[in-house]
Amino acid sequence: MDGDLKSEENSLVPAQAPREKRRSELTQEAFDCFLKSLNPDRDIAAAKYLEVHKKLERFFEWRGCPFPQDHADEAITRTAQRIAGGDTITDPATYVIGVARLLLLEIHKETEKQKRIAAEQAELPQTSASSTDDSEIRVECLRGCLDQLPADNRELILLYYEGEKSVKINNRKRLTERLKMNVSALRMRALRIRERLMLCVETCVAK
Amino acid sequence: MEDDSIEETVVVRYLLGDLPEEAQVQVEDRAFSDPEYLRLIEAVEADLIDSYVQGEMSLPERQQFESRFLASPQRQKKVEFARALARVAGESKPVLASAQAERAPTARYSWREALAQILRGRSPAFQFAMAAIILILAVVASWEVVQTVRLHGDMNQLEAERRLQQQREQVLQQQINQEHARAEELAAQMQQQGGHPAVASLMLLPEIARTQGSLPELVIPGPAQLASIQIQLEPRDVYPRFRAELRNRSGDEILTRANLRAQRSSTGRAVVLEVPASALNPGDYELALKGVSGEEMTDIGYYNFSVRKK
Repeated sequence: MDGDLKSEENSLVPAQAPREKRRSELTQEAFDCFLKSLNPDRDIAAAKYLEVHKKLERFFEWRGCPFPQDHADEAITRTAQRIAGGDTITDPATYVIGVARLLLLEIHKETEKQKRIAAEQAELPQTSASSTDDSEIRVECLRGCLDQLPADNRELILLYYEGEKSVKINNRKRLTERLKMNVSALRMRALRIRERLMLCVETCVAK
Repeated sequence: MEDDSIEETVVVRYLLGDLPEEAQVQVEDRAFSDPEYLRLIEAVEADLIDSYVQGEMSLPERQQFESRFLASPQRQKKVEFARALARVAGESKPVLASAQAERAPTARYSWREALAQILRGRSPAFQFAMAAIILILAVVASWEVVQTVRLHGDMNQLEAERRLQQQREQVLQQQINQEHARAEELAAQMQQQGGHPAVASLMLLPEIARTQGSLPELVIPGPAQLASIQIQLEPRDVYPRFRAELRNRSGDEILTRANLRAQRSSTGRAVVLEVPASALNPGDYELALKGVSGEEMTDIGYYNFSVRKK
């Protein structure tokens, strides 16, 4: 899987500088300080850490950054280093978002620089050779995952996403009538099923 | 319902990277504090990906989408998943779609049949002319529809931005009023106790100081030794240190303080600048606040206020 992911990253963002260049070292001591600043209780702190990390990942993803997970790690590392260095940060969960915003500027700068270099060298992104195979595997996995869903959820998700615009609108309208829920509730239910399916598909593809 | 649509328009623009930085920060701050809003963003994101894979986006939207969504492997996987889902859902034979399909051919037959009836028995030249007119009308009508939809979208967006700004100004105004009330209450208490406050205080809020008609006023009672100026920070103003520069109306520097730190305040986070009352003469002043991170310095804002002594 590591190999696949690496080739996918290279094919999608060839202009990106090696991540190690930007990555700072997070020592155990700094990490412990960060956890402690989130909450003195280590279990609660761990839960908060995951929540903060997820928020950061979403932030970097929304902002179109190439490696959201790595960027989230980096923002936390920088914050942890400040705390370990003696800075008093009263609300690290908010502070780390600010650090992420500064990091975003660095990422954009670096991405622009790399794009310029790539343009000069005429190194255009190449589509991964295995992309067609991957999409076939993904479709097969999706079929398998759909089979594992309860029948009502399977029918809902297929109807919800079936067809083009007008067909979709009609299907969704009928679903709201049949399930006696409003459009917004139906949308959220479909989203939940979609997310479960996607997780199942990615696990299947990784195998 | 209309509000939902406005909100979604903002989220779509956010996800496509089409909002100004300040509005992006607002969307993120709200998403991180309101789980329902976060889910809305995730739902809109899924819809956008579906529109992309089904070719329902305009060319500029498509370009924005590609630069924003195809940047990371994680999001690329979401797009691939949406492709697979559209394909598999398209292959299935859902009950509702079948029911609709049964009625659709009737409707299609009706207008085609009606058109054929008009053209039937006419000369080829007449038929050609009619077909050309219908084609032109169809193109004009489509163009009109597209323009109307675009215009409607722009108006919704402008309205959303206007409301956001109004709400923000209302909140800030409320905060100013509360602070004024608090200051007056304290002054009244001091007077009842037969004294004057030893510290004169003023709160400066982001932007409001510049948009209001009259300048915020720092009133320094005679015996006060110190003036405390609290500069309210926005959530995005996160810096390890701050630098404040105070100038008079002529631009002469009165005082500079580096190494200031943000503190918690009743309304969020603030930087507090303490100035000896003797350094402040009656008149107008400008305070420049900068965020300092390492060797980099970023302008946060310029705040104008006036000083009155009594």
